[in-house]
Amino acid sequence: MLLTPEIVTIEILDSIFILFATITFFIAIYVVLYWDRNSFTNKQYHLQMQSYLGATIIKFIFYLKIPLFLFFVYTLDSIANLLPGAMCGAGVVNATVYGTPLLFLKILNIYLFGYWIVLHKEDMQTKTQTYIRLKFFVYIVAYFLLLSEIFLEFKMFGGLDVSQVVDCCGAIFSTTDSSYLAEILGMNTTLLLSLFYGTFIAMSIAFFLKKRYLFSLINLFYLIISLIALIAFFGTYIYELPTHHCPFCMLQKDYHYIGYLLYIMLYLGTFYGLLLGFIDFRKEKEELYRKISFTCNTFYLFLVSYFPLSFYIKNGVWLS
Amino acid sequence: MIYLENVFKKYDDVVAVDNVNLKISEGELVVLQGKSGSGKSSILALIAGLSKPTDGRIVVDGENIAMLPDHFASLYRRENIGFVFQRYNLVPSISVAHNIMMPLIPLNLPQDLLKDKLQKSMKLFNITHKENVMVKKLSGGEQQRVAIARANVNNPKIILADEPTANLDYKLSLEFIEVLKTLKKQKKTIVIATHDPLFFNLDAVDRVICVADGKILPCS
Amino acid sequence: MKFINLYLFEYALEYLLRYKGKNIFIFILLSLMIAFMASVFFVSHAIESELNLGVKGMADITLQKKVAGMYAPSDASMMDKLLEINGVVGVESRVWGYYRFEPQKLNLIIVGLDSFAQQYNLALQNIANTFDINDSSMVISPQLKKNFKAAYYKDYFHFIKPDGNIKKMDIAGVFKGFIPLEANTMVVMSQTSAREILGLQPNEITTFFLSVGNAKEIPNIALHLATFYPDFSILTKQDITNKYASIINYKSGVFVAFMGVMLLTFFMIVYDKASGLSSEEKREIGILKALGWTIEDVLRAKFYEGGIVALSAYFVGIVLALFYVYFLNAPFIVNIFVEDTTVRHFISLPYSMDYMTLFLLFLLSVPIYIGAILIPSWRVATQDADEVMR
Repeated sequence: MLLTPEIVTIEILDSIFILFATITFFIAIYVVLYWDRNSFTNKQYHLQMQSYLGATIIKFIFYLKIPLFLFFVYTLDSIANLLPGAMCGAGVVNATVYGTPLLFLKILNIYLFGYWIVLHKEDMQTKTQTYIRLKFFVYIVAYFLLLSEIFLEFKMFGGLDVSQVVDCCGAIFSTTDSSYLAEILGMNTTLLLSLFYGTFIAMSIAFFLKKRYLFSLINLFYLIISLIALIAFFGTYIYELPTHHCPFCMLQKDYHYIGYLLYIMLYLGTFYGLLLGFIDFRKEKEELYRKISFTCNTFYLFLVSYFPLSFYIKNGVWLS
Repeated sequence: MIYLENVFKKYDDVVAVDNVNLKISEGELVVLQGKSGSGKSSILALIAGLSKPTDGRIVVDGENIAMLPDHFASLYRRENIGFVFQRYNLVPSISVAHNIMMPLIPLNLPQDLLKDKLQKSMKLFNITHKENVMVKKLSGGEQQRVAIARANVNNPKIILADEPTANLDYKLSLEFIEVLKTLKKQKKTIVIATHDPLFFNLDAVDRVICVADGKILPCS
Repeated sequence: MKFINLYLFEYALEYLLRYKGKNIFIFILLSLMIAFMASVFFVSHAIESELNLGVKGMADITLQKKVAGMYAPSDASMMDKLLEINGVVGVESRVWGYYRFEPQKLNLIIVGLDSFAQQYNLALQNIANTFDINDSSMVISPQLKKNFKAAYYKDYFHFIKPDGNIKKMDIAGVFKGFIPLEANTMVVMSQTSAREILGLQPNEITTFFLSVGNAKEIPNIALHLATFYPDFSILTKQDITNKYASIINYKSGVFVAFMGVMLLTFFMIVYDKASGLSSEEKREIGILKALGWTIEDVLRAKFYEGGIVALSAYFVGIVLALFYVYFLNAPFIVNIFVEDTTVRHFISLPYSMDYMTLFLLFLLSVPIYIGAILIPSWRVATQDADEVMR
């Protein structure tokens, strides 16, 4: 059991999330079951007022979740100093079985809640509130995911043991293990890069042809392949070490916190891209989001490609 | 442009508006005459979108505002309605200018546009010279003008006034009527709920509608 | 500028000033709470950095023999073997131990220096250079000088040796500016005298201090030592830093958990206060809605109000904490981290600002306040505007 101020702070805020999210959960159930915009009863009136409360709470949770997520990443890093063997957040995540699913859920929830916010904005712009039931149904799903995330978070922090040695990222992301992860990371570089750049080219085509669903789907692939390529290939050029495969170390001061920029760009790009597949926007908005998505994804591509290229230019060789 | 079709409004067990059918054309100055509790204030609230009918349709400029979600009803009100309350309902401890610009605050207009609207309204109702004075320091008549300036600052199509002369003496009441004439000249639709006999025989008034027990009855 | 509505901001500010009473109470409460939390964090960081500064002056690896789980003296001849280890560039031996002085209830730390050897600790080196220590004199800390005086020992002190005999030691001087904090009951003397008083044999020493050429090799060498000297306790500099960090973290963590209770209370107070609106306030909101403000506009205004209160309380709280910790030296709070009361007086807290701490304090105050006013604000924003019509 580890009790640092950072951990306790996160847990206090998690408790507040649980409280508010649960209130909204009940509101959501009522809306999904009883909403009837053609009814002029008191019940419908109260339901409408409560839907505003629900929306406000969800916004509160989402806008707080973002700085809290960055704080969480910082906390992982600070704990790494206390756990023997861990040299960055990766070691902490791997210290318990909860770490990886927690991280995955956190990222998923940021996408999901972000989606809710956009859906809500769209809903509020229609006089018939066409998305009201959908958005609260989405919230019900998000609620359970949020609860799972918080549960895992408590479990993970509670299960950290300063006397147990943990693997550092070198061991976790090694390419010599027989694990599934190692196989992916050990993928042939040519194949990996072809997939990465190839996906981007497909995305560009979908962008220029204005094919909304295709663009959205490709964004999903782009997200997955970018993360793999980052850990397996591009990361090694950021660290200038062919065996250093770690998604966390690039968030540290030593590497000028470049990880933050990379991840933010990738998130924004894929978030807006994925959105297009889920919401039917008006033409101007669809174009705007498509452009934002493509711009961020392109920026990410260039930024990430800069590292191997500059290394080659400086040194005349590729790593390994 | 304002249609009330078979409108019912019930507060718990009390029927405030009972099967009202009303049609008001653009540019008309209509007086709803009736004593307190007759339902005329409720009718104003319904036209303003401040409350929703229990049954019936309220169509303004072709749109059934009764079906609008709350945030759209508020937007409708902001764009189209200027309200003058019985007790002015100004904020006494802030200045005239700040009171008048209250409806405009959420719009986040560029500064010059906001100033423009503000100046226009203040000029129209002759209150520019008191721009920075705290409202509580004004006389009754001046406060009344501030209230009307506020109602008019966003240039709404419809002006609603609820017992506007209830707290005024004869002289100020007449001033108010002059103001109404100014507004009418601007082609605004005006609906006044009142039991002040001063309004019943005015030339400016196009129609007097008698309201009692929530119903519209022929005036006797 | 489209994200912030300045007019709304101005309105929120005016509103706060108009309904001062209730808001001032909350503002003061929040500021004090933040000041309190901030003080604890600033103190803990200051102490941690002061302790770590002390660790810097320590040897890379510290070895002490353990017998039956307790520290025991080892033979000085081991030093040669230690020097043979690859990567070790120097070994210093030290004789030290505790001496109980019952009349003042003090545990004196006796440190025996070999005047001719190079001391790792710069401060000790300083003492070796400044004072002329022979077998019958010693140098003590300023605090001890006071303690001895109180026990009527002015220029010398009588140690009671293990065999019952008395050893008189002259006080050659008082050393200054010492870190770490244990230094405050420290007595520096020659190794021979120290052995006499502590009851050690002439060839016995208490601790070996190893100096390692390449700092990155330290864990390796520590591992090597653990394998070859299983009866020794091996501490690296990093171990000590970690130990301090975890104690301080633990105490800070417990404190924050305790704060959780305080925050809950605060949450309820704010919720309650925010819910109790005067009829004037209700009327004003009703007017706004009648004038065309949407529920979201009212909520945004409330959010701006809350933001103004919370952020200004945050800044005021931080400033108060800075004043309390660095000008007043944080009476009372220092006790949470440092239990020895005699040591407390000597702590001058060095200025160390950790920006993440400021962010942590922000997270513990502003979102909680906003959360507390969320539902009351919604209630206000959704109240019926009909009231206004009457």
